[in-house]
Amino acid sequence: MTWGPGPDRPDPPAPPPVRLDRSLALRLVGLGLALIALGALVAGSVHAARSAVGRAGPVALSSARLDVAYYGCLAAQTGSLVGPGLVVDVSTADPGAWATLVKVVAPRDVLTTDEGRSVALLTLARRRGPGACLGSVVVARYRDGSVRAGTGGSLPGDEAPPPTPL
Amino acid sequence: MSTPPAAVLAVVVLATAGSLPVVALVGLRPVSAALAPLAGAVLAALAASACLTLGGSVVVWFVLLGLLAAAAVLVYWRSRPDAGPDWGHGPRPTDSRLDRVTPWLGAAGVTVTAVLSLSALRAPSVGFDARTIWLLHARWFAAGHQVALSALQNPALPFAHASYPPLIGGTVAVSWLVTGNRSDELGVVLIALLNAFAVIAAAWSAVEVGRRCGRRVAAHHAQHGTRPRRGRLEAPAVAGIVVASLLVLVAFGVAGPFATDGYADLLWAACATGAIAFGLVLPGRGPELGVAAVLVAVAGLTKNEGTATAMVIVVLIAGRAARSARLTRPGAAPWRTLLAGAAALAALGGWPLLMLTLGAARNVAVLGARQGDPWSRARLTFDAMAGHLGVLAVAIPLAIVAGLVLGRARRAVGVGHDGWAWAALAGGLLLVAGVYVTGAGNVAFWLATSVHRTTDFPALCAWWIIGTWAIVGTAQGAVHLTSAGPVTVQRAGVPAPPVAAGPVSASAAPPPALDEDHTAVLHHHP
Repeated sequence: MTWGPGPDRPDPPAPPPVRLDRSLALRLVGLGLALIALGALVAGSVHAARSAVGRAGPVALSSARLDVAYYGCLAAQTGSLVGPGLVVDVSTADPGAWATLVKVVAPRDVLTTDEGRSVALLTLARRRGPGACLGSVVVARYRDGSVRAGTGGSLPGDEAPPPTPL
Repeated sequence: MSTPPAAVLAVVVLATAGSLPVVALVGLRPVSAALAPLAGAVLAALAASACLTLGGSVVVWFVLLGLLAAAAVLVYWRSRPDAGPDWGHGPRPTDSRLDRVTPWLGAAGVTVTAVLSLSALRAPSVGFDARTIWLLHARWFAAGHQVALSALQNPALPFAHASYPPLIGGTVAVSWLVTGNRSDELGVVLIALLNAFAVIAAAWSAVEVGRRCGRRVAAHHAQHGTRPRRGRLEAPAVAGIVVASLLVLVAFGVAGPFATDGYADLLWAACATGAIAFGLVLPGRGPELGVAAVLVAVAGLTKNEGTATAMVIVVLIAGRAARSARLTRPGAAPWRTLLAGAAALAALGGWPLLMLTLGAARNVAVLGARQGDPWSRARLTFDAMAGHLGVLAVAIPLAIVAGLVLGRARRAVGVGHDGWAWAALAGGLLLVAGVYVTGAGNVAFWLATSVHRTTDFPALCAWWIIGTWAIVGTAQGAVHLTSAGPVTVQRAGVPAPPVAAGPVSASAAPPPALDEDHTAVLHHHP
């Protein structure tokens, strides 16, 4: 592939006459500035390449897998409590839990802050053992007062879920 | 369908939809390969807008708009045969070997570095904004008009930024519906690939600058009838390829983990930087203007700060073109240029206006009442931004010294004045800083969670400025004579001027005077 005009198209007009200064001092300064600029670019590139390779390493890989599994676990539990497309509320009592749970609920249900409209109030509660997602479980409080814990998702371990950079 | 083949299929679909408009605007050039999927993403954004306002499925709208765009291009070519597709040309006898291999070397350089930068996709993590904004918007659009409209107006999810432009949401929704794979992973991979295409397109400007500098150096020697040392003619083009490859790495380094975890900041920042490079550093006419137009559209349809910055770039490109037109034809008002600029601004303002009309939920970056006075917020903003803009400590002094010493060489090799890029950088930076200073909530928290991404654009812009000076400096350094003689160096597209018979030297035969007026038209100061 080449640049330029098509076969049926005239060449572009000739560029204006050019005059580059040929003094030794200017050529040396030009090369010096080019070297400084290239040096900065190389330094930035090396740092970037190292970071990119690091982000593909085994630690990053296991962290990413754990993150996906954690949210998959919460999504399965939420699915066992409320059907898709329903209007639900998420408790704001714990802002951290709220931020985590809305990421699971928002893609599948309609969020509301109006208790009268929601079929259930969802919260993230701490619970250890099987049936929990890294020590948490989704709990639904329905309009009739009944309370149920989510099922269908389980991720053993009590460690905190991988931090998500903002 | 698993994620890798689904991602390939999605890119092919986007590129297919965007290919004809890109060929019409840019021609069949290496950069067109990176632009085609980006143009397809613009069509997906328009499809999402149509789905939201008129109803129907986003994928049906995408197909319809793709066909409509292709038909419009074909009708245009048929009605104006002189404006037909630019298929390039075969090798010319006057093309040097480097002229022929430069596109391939450049493409190889930026592709290899982009693949290296995308290696983090081996561990595709889903970022916070990816879940709460971009993939969520994609699910709205994938679910159709009714769901998308009611979700857009729902204030219950304050961090969803419901009124953000639709390019990412529309593109991911189309990819999910086309491939049948509705995973977060596919969305993240697709956004990372769009980031890479944007970075490659922007970096390609360095290849073009290097090629342009090489030709001007060749023209210089042809004009003076002098013989350059071996390799000197090729030095600027090689520098352009090296700089382009390094810029790809640097761009991904600036974005860090947010380049591959479903964030869209690198996409608009790279597109805005590329638009500056093609529209304000390169001549900004013909194919270069076409590249800038596609990149401006992507930047403007990706994020709110991208829309604002794209508007600044449009104003600068229109201003530069209007000023050139006035210098070329004194006394005639450049109405066409001004109207085109106004039309571009109106198009960029279309989405925000639509969001106001539809009553979209307000964007909430930080909750709570405004804290701090303007001065304290400005100081915090400055400190936070400075921490991510260390590159300016290199770019500013380099640009000042190089502008003083190499400014004339820059004009001579046909590269636009540095001030245009700095004006765009300052405009984008001040817009974002102004939002922090005048916005709501706790600015310290807001800055801590966003400033590393909102500074992507000025950081990339500064790196591109550094890269451009590296190429111009190489071109100046490449001007060297080994021996005087009746030598004519002729390169593609650069007809050699007549050279006086007999031995010619720089001292014996002074070079023709520089056509200052002509140069001023092309490379006037902002």
